[in-house]
Amino acid sequence: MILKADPDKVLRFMVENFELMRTLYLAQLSGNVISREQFNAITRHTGEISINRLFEYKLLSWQYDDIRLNEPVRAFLAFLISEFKPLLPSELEKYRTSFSTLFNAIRECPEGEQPILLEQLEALYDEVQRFLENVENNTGQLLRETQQLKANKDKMEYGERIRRARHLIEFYIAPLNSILDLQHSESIASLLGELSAYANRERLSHSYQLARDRFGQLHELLRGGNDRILRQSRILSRELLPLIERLQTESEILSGWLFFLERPFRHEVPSFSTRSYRSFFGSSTGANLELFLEQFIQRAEEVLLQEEEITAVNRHEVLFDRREHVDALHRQLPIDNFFDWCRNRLYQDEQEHSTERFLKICSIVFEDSDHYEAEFTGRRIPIEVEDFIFLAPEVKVSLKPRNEKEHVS
Amino acid sequence: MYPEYHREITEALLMDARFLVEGEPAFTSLRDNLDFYQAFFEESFGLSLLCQSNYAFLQSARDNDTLSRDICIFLGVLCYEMDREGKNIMEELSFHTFAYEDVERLLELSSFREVLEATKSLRDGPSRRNFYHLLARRRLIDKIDDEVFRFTPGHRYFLEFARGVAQVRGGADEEE
Repeated sequence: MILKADPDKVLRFMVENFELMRTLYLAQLSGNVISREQFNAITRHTGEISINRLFEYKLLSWQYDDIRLNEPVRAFLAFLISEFKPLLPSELEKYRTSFSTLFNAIRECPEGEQPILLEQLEALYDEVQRFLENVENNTGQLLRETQQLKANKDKMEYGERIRRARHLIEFYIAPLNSILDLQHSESIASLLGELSAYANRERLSHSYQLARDRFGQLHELLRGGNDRILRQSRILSRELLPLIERLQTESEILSGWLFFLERPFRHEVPSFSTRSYRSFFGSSTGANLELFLEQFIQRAEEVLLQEEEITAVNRHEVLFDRREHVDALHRQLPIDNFFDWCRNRLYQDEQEHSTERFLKICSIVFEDSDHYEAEFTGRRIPIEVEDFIFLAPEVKVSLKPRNEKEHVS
Repeated sequence: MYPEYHREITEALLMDARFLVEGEPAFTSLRDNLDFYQAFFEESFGLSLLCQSNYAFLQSARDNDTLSRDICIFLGVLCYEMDREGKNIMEELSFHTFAYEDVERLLELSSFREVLEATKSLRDGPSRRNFYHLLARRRLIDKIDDEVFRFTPGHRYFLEFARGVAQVRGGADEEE
């Protein structure tokens, strides 16, 4: 009990010296206690009267040689400043024991002992309330710590950041997640579910009116608490865990690049794409080429027309008397089967029985196609020259009437 | 007979040797017919197709690819400098745009300047301009205009490489 001041005066003092209170709170948060030297440094510019009041108003107390904020003051400041040390999950585990003990006591409370039942119900209500607040504070604090770690304001080394991230996951986040796991039968969250179901039944069926009211209150709190726990659990699994995972990934990427940049020209590199100019020679090229060549074999007449150029180019090298064949042709016109006539010319008048020579003889009509008339019967005849068999069309050839005169003249 | 966008797929992957990325209709068609294309490129050209959730490309058989090395050096230095400036590298690379001017400033002042100068395509501003054009052709970056670009999902392939290096080296260090 504060003997030397009224409560409102103490609060006013706190308001007037709030920055000092905040500094003291943060000092205790980081060091657990405030050492004498720290205290002297913090209160260097504070008047002696105010320093004395800190102790007279029981805001601070000595603990051997160190100083601590009194617990209710610390909790109040923590609430105001919203800056906490995250609770170790084992600190939250104590609620399991108190919940079970109170739950058992309530269930086994003998008929007629209403006063103690009501007190137990109140105690359970307060305990659940404290648990939920602690969980929320804890999640909030863990979220802040993770974000700070991610932003890396303290310029920590990568290794240190990973170690810190792993520490948070291993000792705080993963255990907290299992405490809040509604699917797990051993979790505190599922114990609260059991409590809620019991309170729900009792608020309707208990024989004592006041107890029914208290069970009703407890049930309401637990119902809301279920939502709050779900929300926290969701923050943990959807935000914290991926955030830390990403932080770890990012640190790995950076460490990887640093390893690589230590010897960038000798380190192996990932295989990337190379522009390919081989694409025109794929596995289908052989088949395409074959198809391309086939057209020349099957369409002998088209080859004939193309031979003309070769004939022209090679005229001096090939001893081919075109005139003689043309004269022979004119003597024998009209001819019923031109290609057969060509074959006969080849075997009778030429010494060289080559395909090339054969094609040259055939060309005489096509070179001067203006002078001749050709009539295709639609039949084909095989003509064998060297190793080839030409499936030549049966063609009747005669002179065009109007050209006959010209030619003779 | 062939899946939709077959021509675009083969031209992009084989002739342009570029990334196909999420958002391109050809990428969707490729992913829908992944088995066919894996067999197609393997049997026709002996190339293996790497297709992740949001990018794909044909892996060459070459194990000493200059372009790949240049990209690693460029990304490595860029990531290091972004982290030094307190930026979140994965978020920056995935969701943000980059002004050439800012990137140039980072590279000019980088402590890895020596490495950059020893790399032909990264040694100075004009060389790097060409390098950016090349990255755009290979679809590692998308040019938004003359001043700004952004990375396509293809950059993740190289980040995964860096991660792999850290894991191998980290494991080796622990064994020591």
